[in-house]
Amino acid sequence: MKKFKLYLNDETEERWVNEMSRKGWQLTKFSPFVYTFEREDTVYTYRNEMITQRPNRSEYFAFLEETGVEIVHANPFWAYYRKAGTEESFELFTDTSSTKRYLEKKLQTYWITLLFLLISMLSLFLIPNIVQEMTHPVTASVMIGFAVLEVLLIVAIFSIIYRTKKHLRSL
Amino acid sequence: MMQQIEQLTDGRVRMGPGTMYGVLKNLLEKGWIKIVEEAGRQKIYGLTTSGYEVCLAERARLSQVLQHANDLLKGATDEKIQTLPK
Repeated sequence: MKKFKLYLNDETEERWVNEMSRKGWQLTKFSPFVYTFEREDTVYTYRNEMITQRPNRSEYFAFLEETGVEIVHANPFWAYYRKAGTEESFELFTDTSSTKRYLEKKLQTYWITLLFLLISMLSLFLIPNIVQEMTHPVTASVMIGFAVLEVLLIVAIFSIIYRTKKHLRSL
Repeated sequence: MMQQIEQLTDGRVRMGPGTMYGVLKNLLEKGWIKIVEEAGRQKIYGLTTSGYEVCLAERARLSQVLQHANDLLKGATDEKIQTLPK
């Protein structure tokens, strides 16, 4: 079964994936907006992790597998893992310092993404004769559409940064 | 190892694999442990001399902490607790 969803917060997304598992739908694959589930009655606990800052990914995955964790699916940015059992039995980070380090790395990635978005938005103005070009209705609407999309993404990233900071402070 | 830690501490200390991985990396970097055997993907870690020394020093520190606590709480009785402000 495929589900189409947009999650801005990975913690909310993880909660939803675990709820789906309780209902007998097990996540097997994910890509932005598309989640693939398979029917299976085992109770799994799913955990996600941002892996952009994991230098030795295959070694890390091998380590996880050795501890009985299954790598469900991973792309260059995120990974989903699972282990049969209740939610308390599987937590990636169990102490404050490692949780903090993970959240700080996540924040760093978000800031970089934000910077990248801002630069790409500002670079619109580097297009020669952009002001004159804007009088053309097609160019204008493409440009405005692009700008609106960028603003939405920037707002989204800001809200993720805010939530991650809040989580960090609560530790 | 993660299960052993949990059993040893009666479930007080739980080690998630993400945390455990970081701890092992850290100990390797410090030279306190090293890989002594590699059976396929499984790695067996062992203490090094400096790691063993660190363990002994930490045990000495902790027993000193316990000693201080014992000194400070010497003569702590149920009657004494009754005399303290609530």
